[in-house]
Amino acid sequence: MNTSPTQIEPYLMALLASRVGSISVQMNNIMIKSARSSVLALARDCSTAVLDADGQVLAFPAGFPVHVGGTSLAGEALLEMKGGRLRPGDAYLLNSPYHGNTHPADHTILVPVFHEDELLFICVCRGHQADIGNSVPTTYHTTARDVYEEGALIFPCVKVQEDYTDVEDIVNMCRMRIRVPEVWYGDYLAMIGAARIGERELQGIARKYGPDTIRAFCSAWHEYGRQRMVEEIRKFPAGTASYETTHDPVPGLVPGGVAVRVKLTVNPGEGWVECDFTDNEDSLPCGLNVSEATLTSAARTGVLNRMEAKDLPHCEGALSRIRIKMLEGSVVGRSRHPFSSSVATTNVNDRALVAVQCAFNQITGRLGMAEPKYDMGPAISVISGKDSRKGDRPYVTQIIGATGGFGGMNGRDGYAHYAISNGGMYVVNSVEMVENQYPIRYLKQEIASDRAGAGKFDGGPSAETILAPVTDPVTFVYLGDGRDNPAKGAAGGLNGAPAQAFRERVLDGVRTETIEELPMIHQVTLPPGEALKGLYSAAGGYGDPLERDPELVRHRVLEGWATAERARNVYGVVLDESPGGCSVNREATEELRAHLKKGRP
Amino acid sequence: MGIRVCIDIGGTFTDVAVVNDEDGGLNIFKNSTTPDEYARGVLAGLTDAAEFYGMEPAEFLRLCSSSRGGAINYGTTIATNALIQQKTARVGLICTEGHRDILTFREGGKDDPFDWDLDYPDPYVPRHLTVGVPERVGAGGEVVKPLDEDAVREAVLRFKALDVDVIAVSLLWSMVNPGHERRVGAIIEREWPGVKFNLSHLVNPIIGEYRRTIATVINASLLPIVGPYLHGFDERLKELGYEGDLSVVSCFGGILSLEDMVRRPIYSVDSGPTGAPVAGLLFARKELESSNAVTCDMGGTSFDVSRVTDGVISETPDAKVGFDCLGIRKVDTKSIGAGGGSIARVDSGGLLHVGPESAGAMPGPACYGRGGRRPTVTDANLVLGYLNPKAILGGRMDLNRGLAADAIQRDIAGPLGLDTREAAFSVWKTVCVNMTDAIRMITSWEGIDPVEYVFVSGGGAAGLHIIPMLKDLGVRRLIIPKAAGVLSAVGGLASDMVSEFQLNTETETSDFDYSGVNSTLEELKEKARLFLERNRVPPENRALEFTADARYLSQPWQITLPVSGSPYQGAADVENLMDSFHRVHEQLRGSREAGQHIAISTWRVKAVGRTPELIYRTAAPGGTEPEEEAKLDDREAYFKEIGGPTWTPVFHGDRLRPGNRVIGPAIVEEMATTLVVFPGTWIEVSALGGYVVHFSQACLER
Repeated sequence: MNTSPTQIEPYLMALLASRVGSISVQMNNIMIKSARSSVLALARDCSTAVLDADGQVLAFPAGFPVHVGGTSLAGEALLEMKGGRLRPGDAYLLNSPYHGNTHPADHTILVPVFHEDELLFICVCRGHQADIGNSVPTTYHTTARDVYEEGALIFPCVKVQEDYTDVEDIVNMCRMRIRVPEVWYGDYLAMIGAARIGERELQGIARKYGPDTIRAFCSAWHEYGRQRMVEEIRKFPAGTASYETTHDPVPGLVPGGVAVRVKLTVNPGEGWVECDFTDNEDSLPCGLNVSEATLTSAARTGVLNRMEAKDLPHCEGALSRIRIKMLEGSVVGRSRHPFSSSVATTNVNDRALVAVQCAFNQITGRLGMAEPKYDMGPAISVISGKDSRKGDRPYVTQIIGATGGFGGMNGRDGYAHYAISNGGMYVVNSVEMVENQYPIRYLKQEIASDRAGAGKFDGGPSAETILAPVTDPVTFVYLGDGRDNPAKGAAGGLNGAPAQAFRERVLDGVRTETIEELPMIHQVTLPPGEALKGLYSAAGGYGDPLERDPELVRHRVLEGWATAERARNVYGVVLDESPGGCSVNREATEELRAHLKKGRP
Repeated sequence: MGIRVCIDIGGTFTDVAVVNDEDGGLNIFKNSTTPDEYARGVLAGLTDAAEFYGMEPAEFLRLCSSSRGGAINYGTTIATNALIQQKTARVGLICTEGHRDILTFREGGKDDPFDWDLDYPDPYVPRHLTVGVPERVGAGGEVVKPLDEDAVREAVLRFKALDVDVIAVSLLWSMVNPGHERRVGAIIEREWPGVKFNLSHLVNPIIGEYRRTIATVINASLLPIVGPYLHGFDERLKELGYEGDLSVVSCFGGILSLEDMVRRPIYSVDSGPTGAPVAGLLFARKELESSNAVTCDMGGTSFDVSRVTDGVISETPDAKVGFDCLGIRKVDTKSIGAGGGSIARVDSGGLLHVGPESAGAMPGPACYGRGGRRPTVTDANLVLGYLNPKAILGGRMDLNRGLAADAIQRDIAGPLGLDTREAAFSVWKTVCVNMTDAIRMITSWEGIDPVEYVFVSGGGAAGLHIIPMLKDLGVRRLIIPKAAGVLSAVGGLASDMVSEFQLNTETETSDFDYSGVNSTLEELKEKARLFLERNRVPPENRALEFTADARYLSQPWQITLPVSGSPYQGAADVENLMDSFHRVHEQLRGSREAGQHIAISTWRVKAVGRTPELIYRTAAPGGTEPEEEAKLDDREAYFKEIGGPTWTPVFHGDRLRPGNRVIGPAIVEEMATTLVVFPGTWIEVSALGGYVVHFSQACLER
């Protein structure tokens, strides 16, 4: 029996759920396809959501997990700050990490949706901007000691439209401060356009079914989500687990790195999971501090990644079964003004997400996971400079190349395309489109061999990328994690290879030689004739590599993801060469594996 | 007398649609599809058709020849099946050194960010059959590093030793400077004479290395399959008396000559549903004189929607096959898992879902009595009284209402706390909502107001749902044509000869490259002319439609924009181009930036050779009131908006005459379909024997 407390006919429930869900998808599509900056359009570093009148998420499409898991906080902030004063035709800009936003680079547009005089929904469109006016040309200011050094304009729910018209003063301020104002304004229009289309569609529903039905639906929908989530949590055994992982040091600022600790409790009886982050350090004088919204998303995503059901409703009713404890003023907690949260969506927050999903290994082997690759290496640098091919046009953008993959899992190899903050949703730039738009050339972008963490189930491989300025110097800003603390294997699996960056000299237009190794959190300007080479962090393996199916080892050697030496030394697999490939020498493999096992401590 | 034939091979049935010029009568001959040898099922249909017209097969086929004004258009699934079953030919790929993983990385973009219990899909060409050769062309077409010809020779010899079936070549920036690719082609011809190969700048000359490469390797992998198959079929027809040129239905909403299709077999991939919008346009024009049509097709497992705007079939560059893009543009068909066989279930939180899981033909819906226990959309329609338990498939199979009611009671009504009929209504309504959303995806999501369109509905199950769906969308014009069950085959009969040519010439409106663009347009016209001439299209039947891919500067997505094709003479022409971009951008994406310059990359022409208009027989008109012989026994059907169970008049569709009107609530039964005329609507039988649906003003108030 349906035990939902609010009476709404079952067919209407299915109908409204489908409509609201599809409106949030439609908003997302419009925003992506009309955006100017590649980070928003291609990286899909953006999200949309439909909130109810209490600011609680009803539906979000498959948006970036780091954005959407905590979107209710943005709705709550709007209602708290502007509650009684919201009017039809308003739109608000939020990017303050101290007011429920993720980090300042994500501009969030909130549009209250009215039926006659009654607030029924809030449309949310959030997108990572190409530039936000930081003191340096990147939206990720790792070394900012505080929000003042960071330099971005901070908007704590500021009205940007009234009566469906821009508040020009705000737009003019942004145009003065943001480096590529026409790109910013284009993305702003994309977000506003999407939110307004969402508004129009939601008003259509409200007219057709009436506000009473809408309200009844909202509470029934949260209740439905609660039931589904409780059911899913009941599939886990009860237990408590702890996990610690460490973000790499930031030279000069955080020499020891940033430890991230979580205590995970699963209570299937009552149907909740708790992620306790209270045992972490105080806020740090750098941009790595997470925000309430990102940490909430990280914890919820870590839990969702371990769940079997693929069709859970991602409404607040469901997500609130994942409880999060955090302290204010902690690097892994609620950010406190004026500490900077410039890099709140990746790096330390990524470590927090990994800590949650890997802590589950101590509770259940089901979907057991090694650590995934760590992010933000040279392949996804923010590049800036001038393009003399186009009349010295200035540009700032994040390029999105191939990176690395998910950790090996109990039962299958790690997926080869992943980013922790976005669940692998990002679209890889076309090399030709990037070369067309910016004075840069991809000399290489390929999977590098022998880097994936070996296991019974291998981690995802990682890419090698070489980027060369073509006609003008190019400034690269990147902040790669995973060199000093590479992705750990699990259940006997080996660690993934660490991330690395190099300055290269271009030899014959295409091939390069190394000049020097570069730090992994770094800003560098290279002239034509030099190149930036990045080896992405590779994911950890799951289970003993000596138990890996020798045929799978053979396949990876054939495809060049691993060498025959590695097959022998790490997996204990002996391969015989055959025309056009290789085959497994079963006997020699068994012998070698027995020998290698014996030699272990 | 010329006879036009379209052959449409489906999963279950092979339809042979035949129109003869003399009386315009359309006849359909259905035979079982013969997957072991498709030609057998086709020839059976042709033999049936010859018999129907009282001819020997040889005589019938002679009248189908183009010299007699006839045609045979062949819709084949051979390429689609080869892709699905992964039985394509072995391809060796030559690419730019340092970029061997273009087919592995694809475009990234995993859709479900929380699902990790899945394997990463293998690249279309494995890496051990992919060779990077030292060479590089830059973004401006400049040679950064000359081609290493020894490396190419080694690659070719390696492929020869490995016995690949065909070689594909896709180098970076080859669409701007094809010199290196051409050189690789020459080396292949010299080192391995006779091996088939494809060069990417010829197959799909667009910017974007993944899409250019994937289209090239897919095309290459089909070369050894589609060519022999089509030639074999053509020979069989010729042996039997056919004297003309066989045409093949393409996924581009038209037909291609056999030789063109053999060279570009990728254009036969997923060509099955692309006849539907052609048929939709045909009926929208003939019945309601409109060139804006949305075609909906609902069968047993899927609901397909396509759109025609101003007579132009909507296309998409984003079509997928398995985990890969097709890379080429094709007719845009939105397809969702909603059909008569879609299974309904209630989840653990009490929410009702319908589809995409389908009961298929076996066991089929519960009411088929073949052991299916799970309730389906067909079961709901039976319980609601919309379907007649006795009439389906011309009375060949009875439906068991008891079994349907049991399944709905057990799986839906019980868990939801509803009575069986209310539960059946909920299932019916939910599938309607899902299908309505699919229509929105191809209309309002693309800035199109469905109210301005004529809807054409086909497929066995659509008549049970379509009217209330369109009421929800505020649509006023709906046609259910007489040939609703075989829209694709009818579309294939009416299809034009269509091919597309494209060239890459990057320019920005701030510094417009007049001579470059104008010579590109000239070159496109020449390619189109050669194509139309080769296919002997008379000048009066030729049409050229030009488009360009454009974007705001720094915008990574492009939109496709109609352009005139005339040379750009000066600033005013460029202004027009910009205006038209701003307008289309606002319509599609909801925003415009007046005054901003745009960049254009790809220029393209669609060459159309128009097929003579299909003559369609009209029947003798009757009065407004259906004749007595058209009336069947009333039965109880469920209409929630007028209070539930209602005694409803039922009509025999084949006995309705043009001019007859049927006012809802009513049900019209035909051999393979049922149309439910809902309260507040009425239908009129048109001169062509189709139903034109009218919505009363009251029921349109949203």
